[in-house]
Order: sequence, then structure tokens, then C-alpha cells
Amino acid sequence: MNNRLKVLRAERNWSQADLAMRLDVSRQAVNAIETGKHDPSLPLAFRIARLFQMPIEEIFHDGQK
Amino acid sequence: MTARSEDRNEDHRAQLLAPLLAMIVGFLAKLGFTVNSWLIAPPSRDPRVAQTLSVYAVNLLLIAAIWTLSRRTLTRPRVIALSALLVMLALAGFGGADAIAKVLAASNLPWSAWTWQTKVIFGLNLLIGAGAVWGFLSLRPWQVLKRAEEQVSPATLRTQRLFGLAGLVSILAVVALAIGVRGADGNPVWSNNQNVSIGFAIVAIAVWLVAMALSWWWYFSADEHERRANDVGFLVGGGVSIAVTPVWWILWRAGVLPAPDAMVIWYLTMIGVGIGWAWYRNR
Repeated sequence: MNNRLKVLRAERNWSQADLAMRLDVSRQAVNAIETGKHDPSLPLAFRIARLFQMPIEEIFHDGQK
Repeated sequence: MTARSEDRNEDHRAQLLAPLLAMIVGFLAKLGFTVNSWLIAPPSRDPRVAQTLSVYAVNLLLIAAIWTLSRRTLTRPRVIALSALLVMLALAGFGGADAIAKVLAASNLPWSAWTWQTKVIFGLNLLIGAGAVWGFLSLRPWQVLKRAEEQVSPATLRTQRLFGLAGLVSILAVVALAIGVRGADGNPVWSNNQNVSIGFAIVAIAVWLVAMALSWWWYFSADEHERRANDVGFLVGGGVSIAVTPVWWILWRAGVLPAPDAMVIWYLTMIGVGIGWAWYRNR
């Protein structure tokens, strides 16, 4: 699953540790999601969407049209 | 991560590399010499083989844990865990040399009468112990613990503390057993299959249950990425156990290996768990 988390984070000038603090997860979890090595659960995806005030599908996409 | 903390971690990895290589070379050479001596004189069904294998499995487990932790970002819980592991490995290395010296002293053999292989294995044990002490001094935990901690989320802080507490309980128990309780043959009671008293067994089981309860508390407090890494670790560990147990059992029945040793299989399983966990968490 691809995502725009790194771009959205950079736009706000947040470090991975900053984003991890806001989502209440570890920095390793943020890194794994950003690099596509870990797909977040639906509850975490909703938390991310709420944090960035965007719909989930504007942050995460599965590469299919 | 800030550039400063990245530099700090690079320094820390570079400082630990040489002592880690000394420990790894020492361990591999010791394993090589031991296997070589077994090939020359096969010790089939000798109980000392299982004992030696369990000691080597503990060495491997400690070195693998030290290597994995040393590649990670430096945090207080990891510095504490790394320091404790280095102390345990130093005890294991010097304890191994001490055990060889005691066996030979009991048989009234002077140093000049020892075989060269025994002298080399004795020296390699000292090298592992010295490497661990060198690593501890290079890590300088007393300085690292004074530095400012990277900000972590409340959930991460809670899981780090629980993980540290579970590790501390386990490490203290092993160190207490290693130092305080000796069996009839003078070896630590956890290193082989000699008899123990029921009182000792009750205390050991109670400590183990506390460590298990803390590890479950940690699991259910951890974030989903950490839990997934733990699940992958247990998948790998389960695979190791499922593969090793019947293979060893059938090779024992074929007269190739001594009887299966539950603790050796447990150590191998835990090595598998650790490798799977570290791979998923750090890939």
C-alpha cells in the first residue's frame, strides 16, 4: 500500500518522532508505515486521517485505479 | 531523528564494532574447535554434549541480542538492556574459562599438561569475556544515561518501561542463579540438567511467571507495529521449534545425537523469536 505520509509530515515540518507523539505510536511504526513496510490497521488509518484532516483515500492508495 | 542524535548513534555503533567482532570471532572459533574435537572423537549420547550445546546457545543468544540492540537508536532502556547483556556475556565468558580451569584442577593437571585445544578454548572464553567488558567500557552507559532522552509517545514510553522491567526481572534471576546457586558439580544450576531442590524450583517458576506476565502486559500495551513484530517473531520461533524437535528426536533414536534437551530447544526457539522480531521491527 502506497501513502503520502512522508510528504504530509514534511509539509508540516514534523519529524518522525513528532508524528509518532501525535499518533501515540513508536517512531519505528511511523517509519515502517511511511516506507510501506507496515500497513496500518483501520483504527490507526482513521487516526492519521483525522490528524491531517483529510479522507483516508487521499493519504493511502492501493495502486489500483 | 535529529542530525545530532543520528551522529550519536553512529559513534555508538562504531565504538561497539570492535568489541562485538572480538566476541563473535571468539564464539565462532570456540564453536569450531569444539565441533572439530567432536568429529575427531564423537561423543554420541554423552550428556556433556547437551550441556555444552546449551551453554553455546546462551552465548549465541546473548551475542545476537547485543548485536541487534547495538544497531538500534540509543535510548535509555536499550542502554540499560545492552549493559546488562554485556555483563551477562562477560560472566558467561569468564565463567566458561573458570569451569575449564576447575575441571582440570580437579584432575591435578598442570597448565603444561593441558592439550593445545583446551588451552585455545580456555583463551577464547577469556576473549569473549574480555570483549564483553571492552564493549561495556566503550558503551559508557554512565555517560549515555545522563544525556537528554528522545521524545517518545506515552504508549511507547509505557511499553519501553514494561519491556525493561520484564528484561530486568529475567536478567536479575539469571545472574542470581549464575552467581549464587551452584550444583553438586560446581556448575551453575541453569547450565545443565542436574537435580534441584523443590524450593529452588518454586522460586525459579515464580520469577518466570512474573516475567511472562510482564511480557504479556507489554504486548497488549504496545502499538500495532510492535505487536506485529512480536507475532512474526513467534511465527519464526514456532517454526524453529516444530522443525528442530522431531528432527533431533529421530536422530537420537538413530543413535546420532544425545537425547533431546528441552532447554536447548527452548534457547533455539527464543533465538528464532528474537531474529523474527528484530527483522520485522528494523527492516
